[in-house]
Amino acid sequence: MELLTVVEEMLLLTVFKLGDNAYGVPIRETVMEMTGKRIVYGTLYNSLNQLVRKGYVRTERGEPTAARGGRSKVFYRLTDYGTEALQFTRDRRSAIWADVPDLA
Amino acid sequence: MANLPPFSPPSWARWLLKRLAAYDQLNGSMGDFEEIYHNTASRVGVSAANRWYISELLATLPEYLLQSLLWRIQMFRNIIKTAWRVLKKERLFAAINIFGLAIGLTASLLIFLWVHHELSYERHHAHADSIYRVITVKDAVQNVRVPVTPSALAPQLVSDYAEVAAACRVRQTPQSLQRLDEKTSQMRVQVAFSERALFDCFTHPLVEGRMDAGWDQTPSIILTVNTARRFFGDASAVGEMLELQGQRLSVAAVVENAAGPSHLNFEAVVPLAVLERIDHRYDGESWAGLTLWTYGRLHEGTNADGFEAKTQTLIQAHRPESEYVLQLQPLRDIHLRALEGSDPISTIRLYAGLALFILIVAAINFINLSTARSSRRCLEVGLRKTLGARQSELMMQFQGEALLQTGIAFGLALLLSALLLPEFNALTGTPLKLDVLVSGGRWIMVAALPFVLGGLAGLYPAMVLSAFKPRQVMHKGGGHQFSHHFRQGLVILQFVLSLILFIGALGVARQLQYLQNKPLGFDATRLYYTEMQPMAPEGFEALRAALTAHPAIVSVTRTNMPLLDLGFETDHVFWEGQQPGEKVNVQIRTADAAYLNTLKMTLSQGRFFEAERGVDQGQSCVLNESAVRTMGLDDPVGKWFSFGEEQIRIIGVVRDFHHHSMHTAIEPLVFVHWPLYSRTLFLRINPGQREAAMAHLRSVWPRIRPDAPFQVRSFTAALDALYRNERHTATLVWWLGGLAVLVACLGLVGLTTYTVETVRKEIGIRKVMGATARGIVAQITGKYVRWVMLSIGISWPLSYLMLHGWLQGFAYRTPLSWDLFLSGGATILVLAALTVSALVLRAALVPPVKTLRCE
Repeated sequence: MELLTVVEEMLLLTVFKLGDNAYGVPIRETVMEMTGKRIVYGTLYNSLNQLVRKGYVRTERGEPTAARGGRSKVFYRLTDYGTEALQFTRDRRSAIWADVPDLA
Repeated sequence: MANLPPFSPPSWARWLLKRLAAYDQLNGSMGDFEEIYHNTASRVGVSAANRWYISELLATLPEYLLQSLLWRIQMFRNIIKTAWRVLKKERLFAAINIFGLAIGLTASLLIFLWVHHELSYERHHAHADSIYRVITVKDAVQNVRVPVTPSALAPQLVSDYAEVAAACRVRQTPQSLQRLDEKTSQMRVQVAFSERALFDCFTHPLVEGRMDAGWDQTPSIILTVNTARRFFGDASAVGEMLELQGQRLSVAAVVENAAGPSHLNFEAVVPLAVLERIDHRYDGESWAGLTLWTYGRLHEGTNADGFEAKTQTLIQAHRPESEYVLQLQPLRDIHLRALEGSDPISTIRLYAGLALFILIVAAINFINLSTARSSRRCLEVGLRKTLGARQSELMMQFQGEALLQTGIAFGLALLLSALLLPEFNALTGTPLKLDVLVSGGRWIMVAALPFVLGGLAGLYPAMVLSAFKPRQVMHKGGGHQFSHHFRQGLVILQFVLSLILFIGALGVARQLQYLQNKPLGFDATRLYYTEMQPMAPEGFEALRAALTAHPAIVSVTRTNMPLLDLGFETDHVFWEGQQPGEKVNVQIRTADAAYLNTLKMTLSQGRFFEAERGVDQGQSCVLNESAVRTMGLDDPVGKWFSFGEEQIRIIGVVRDFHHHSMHTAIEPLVFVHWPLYSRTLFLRINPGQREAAMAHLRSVWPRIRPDAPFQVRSFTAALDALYRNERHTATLVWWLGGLAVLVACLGLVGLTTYTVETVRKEIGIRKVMGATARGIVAQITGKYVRWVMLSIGISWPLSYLMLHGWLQGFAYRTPLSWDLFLSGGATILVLAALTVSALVLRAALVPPVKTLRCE
């Protein structure tokens, strides 16, 4: 099992938190809130595609809506492998941070 | 839900986003964009939403572009990889394809180089387009055009005409030069006797030394860099002394070599003042003779036609009795258009056409073989399409294969050209270099060539192959009818072109042979000639005796000019029985009693000059048959003839002989006995004694021409030079014809191999049923033979027209008889039939059990 990068970790967490509503628009908003930085869509989709390729998430097509110009939403769901990776990363990270006193 | 929202993003932005995201349909990014846009629009306003949409789009752009580029490179690599695999799998086809194309490309590359060289004459002169050579035309109707002009012309042009920026006179002859300190031996150098203005017309930048205004009057010489190096090595040449015909000349300056080919190919320039001292016949400022070349550079923007009209009658203005008018010839035309006879530019066009022919043949070959493979590839196409490949993608794949092959062929062609260039240069007598291909931005065109060629040649196969419908090809597994007919047409076209080249080569060779074998009317073998000093009859008799005293020299005569030149002629002649107003242009040759026997001409009537009869000198003449015919003399001997002064007697008639190249008809000619005009010496030498004769000549030389180095020319060599162009044409057409036939036969090999492969089982079954190998070969070969026969039928009239046109340039031509066409056609037919039947025979001899075993 490989350690996730920060971007991967953030995206996977977002997908997890959003649950049934994890598609492009809310994912972008959440990540922007978390980081406080503007995220360009091209970057977002490339990162998401990468997660799909690595098998951490899978996509699911929703109903088309008028507000989307007649296009369907594409939802992202964590795969089991993705959940495992997230858990693994969290464990490792906690272990690293465990014996660190307050930095300030 | 189906209703669209009342506002939508700008359509161009939407279109752009759609294009960019086209490869990436998985994550619904388009939909997300729309949704945010819609939200923003309803919350904040449409213009804010538009702003957001566009800024988002622009921010995304680089990312998307990078992605799509990476994808394209990936795709290209994939195409090349697949193409390479296909190439390795079908080695024979690939080899034939590439080799055929490489041959065609090599031939056209070499000919391109040659054509480029021919067209680049004079182009390096900065003012090339405003320089003109003045030529002299006699009577304007008779079309006698010579490049020589009176020596007083150039100064007058400069002083009287504001249009003239500079004008110069040139006489260019090879001369022997020697260093005064005699550190090097004598060297032959092409010397231009000219003036300082030469460098105002033509571009030869100064390297060292100076060219003062007074240079024209000083005994000095200007050398080109190469000549300076020949004499003085790397040391500075300026101030050194050279000797030319006893004149001491100091080197005033060194100028750059000519930067390109030019009809003026001098290696040194000497003032005309020096020429006056060497050649006593040369008169510095005179309107009388036509003595040297005159060039003028007009100011930019001058109307050359208007200027020509003004200067046309300059000679007549000074000498009212003159029949000469002046014309201007653009500098760039000098090499490309002949003053008489056929223009070199037509030869250049012919060669360019031939190169194009052979390239077409090679390209057809390529197209043919690629489409012939189609039925092998159609299953692949079907499968790829079933798996979702689009036609455009498949086309790219096939185009990629074509490009790979043309790329390799092009590399091979460059290599072959580099290897063959020395041979080619020896053949055409030109100093061609490959770097012309890459100089001056031309490399872009050269580099683009394989792409264009590959694109064009691959287009049709790609269209045919990619258009297969999966259901059809999976079901039947065959190519289609249209491409079969198309291929057949191409093969026929290919053979027609090859046949035209081949028959053309045969025809050119036959004409050349005809020229070389046609009786000249005199014997050119072992005949030598040289220039001599003017001599009184007694002096010449003593010289003749000294020469013929040696057993190697048979006989000696003298005349006014080498036989093969034209020029000494007049139409100011009169004869007994002349109709009023009747005019004939006759060539004048001087001769003495020994002339007829030395040249071994035959007399048809009367007698030739006889030494004993003093009356012959200046009072008799001998005509050739052509003159007798043109003047309409029935019984010429004894009648009178005149050049406008006293009447002289016609004492005899000689058989017509070719006194010039066979491009022109034999002209009327008159022999007169004028010893003082006779400055050319003719000698006939005994067989096998050339060395001895030359040694003897060398010892007598100071009496022949004390002012010039030893130089004796052979008549056969001069004749050879006369037909050099034709020989080059013949050799080149031979090569091209042979190559075209080779390429066409290569194509046949490919096509036959393919046919044989598709009918292997059929052959097996036929054999089981009792067919003989002979019958099978006859059946398959028959089809190809019919194609070739059709091509022969088409090519005959076409090649007849081409050869007929080419032969019009000769006054004496071999008849275009049927056996020429028959033998050309038959050769190709036999070659094609042999090629095909050998391949089919190999397949027909395979035991049926081998081909049928697996079913």
